Amino acid sequence: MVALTAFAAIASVLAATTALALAVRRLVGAQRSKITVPERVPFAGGLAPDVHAWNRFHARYYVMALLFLTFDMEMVYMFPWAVVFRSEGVVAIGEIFVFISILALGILYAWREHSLGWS
Amino acid sequence: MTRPPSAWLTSLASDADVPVFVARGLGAAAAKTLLQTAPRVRVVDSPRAATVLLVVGHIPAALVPPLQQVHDQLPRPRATVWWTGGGRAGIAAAWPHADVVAATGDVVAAIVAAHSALISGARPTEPPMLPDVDAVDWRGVGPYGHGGTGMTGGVPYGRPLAGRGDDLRDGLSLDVVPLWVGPFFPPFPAGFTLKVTFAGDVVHAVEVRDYPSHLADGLGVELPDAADAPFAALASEPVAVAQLELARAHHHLRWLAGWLHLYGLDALGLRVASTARSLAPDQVPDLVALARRLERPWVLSRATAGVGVISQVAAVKWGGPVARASGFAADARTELTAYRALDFAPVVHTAGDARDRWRQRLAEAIQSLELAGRAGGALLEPGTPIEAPTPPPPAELGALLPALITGAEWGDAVATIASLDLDFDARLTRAPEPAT
Repeated sequence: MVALTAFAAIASVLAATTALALAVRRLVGAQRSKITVPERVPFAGGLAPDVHAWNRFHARYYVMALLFLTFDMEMVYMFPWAVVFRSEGVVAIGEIFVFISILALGILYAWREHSLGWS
Repeated sequence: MTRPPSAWLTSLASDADVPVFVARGLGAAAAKTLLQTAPRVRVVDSPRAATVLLVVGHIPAALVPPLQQVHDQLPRPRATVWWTGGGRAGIAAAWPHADVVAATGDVVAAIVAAHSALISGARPTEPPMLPDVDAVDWRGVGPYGHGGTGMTGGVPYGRPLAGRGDDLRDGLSLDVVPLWVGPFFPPFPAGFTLKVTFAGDVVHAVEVRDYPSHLADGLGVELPDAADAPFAALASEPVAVAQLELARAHHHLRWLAGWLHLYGLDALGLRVASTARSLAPDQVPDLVALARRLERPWVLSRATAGVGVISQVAAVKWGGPVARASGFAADARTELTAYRALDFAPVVHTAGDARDRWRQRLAEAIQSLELAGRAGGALLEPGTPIEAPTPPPPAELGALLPALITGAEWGDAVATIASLDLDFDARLTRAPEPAT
């Protein structure tokens, strides 16, 4: 029941915010007007593009993304460790350091290979 | 607007800073810095963020259609203010709504007034200037146009998909997108237009398309440029060394204010622009402190190191501070008796990158202030070949610039162009500089 009350509170805040936004919009007299073709053109200095903007480009941050995933997964392994490390004692701390060190070596290697730069 | 907004909201909105997009025409180099220090006005880098379009200087006929396009890119409500000395005459018919401010008029007041009138509803928003038609018909296939066979079936609005190009860095060839940048792209000189082919964020190829010397169709009245006036005056009358050196420092600091804005350091840029407005030789310690601050690694130094490197051999063609930043110590002032008496020796940097170019200009500004302080009443004879603050761009710019920025990331490419301080107005309005 408490949870339902919380949901009701959030929902009413949402509804109030939306109503407020709509009311302010009416108050200042904004109206939807038709956007013309020249108004739609993206700005690059005053000339229209010749080519469609839909293109394939090299996502150079993919190495960053992979490294992020690696360390995200490392966190997943650390959660169960955090639950048991008090009962396991010093051995558990030693083991997690070995685990993190291996991954940290990976980062150092990526750094040396200049994989962390985007260009 | 369907009905007037409440008086309270109107007064709040009209007290806010006015976002202004500055479309610079020819002979308007000084305008941006002037506005940078103006109260109530915020210069923005895209018309999408602006309420008022400020057109400064002379707009040649070739630049009118792009200017109309920029005008239409301002969101409604919008207003236009023309700050020209009368150069608008030829295109007045195309711009019936704009307020016109004379060269000596109070442009900030005009901008604020236009903004207030827009907000209160006293002035209607300007209608679009270009017709609401596509240049080419929709010839797309499928809901997004590129349906049909694979992704290449249609050509919506005459715009095909990007073609493929070789990759400059690691050999993974993907699409390259050609795009026009300019003639009103704020970091570029007025009228400067590039056709840049992008591979992602990297400049794959670049072609210098147009610059104002091709566009000049008879200059109209220009805005007075305080920085260059003494150099222009020297052609016909004796001018004090102190006056020339103050003007040089003014030019370099004005450039530096724009440069700091480019790197998002607006507060520092504002300070430099204010300093530039009222320059005196006793401000040397302030500038030395500023230089020390900019040298801190995370402020500007690291972002600009290694960007747009010009070798000492190539630098000869650029001349002026760009050449001296690459270690080429040529300066017309070394030949002059008046400067020899002041123990003048040119400042030189060696790396030739964007960092050394801003260091060079700041160091030259400090040196100029020192010289102005020591020069006393020394005069230069009319017609003396003096080093201009920035020389006219090299004639072979079309070949030099692509070599400099091809392969750079776009941000670095823009910074490289800005660091060269290309001053096309100099080529238009001043006699060619003597070879140094």
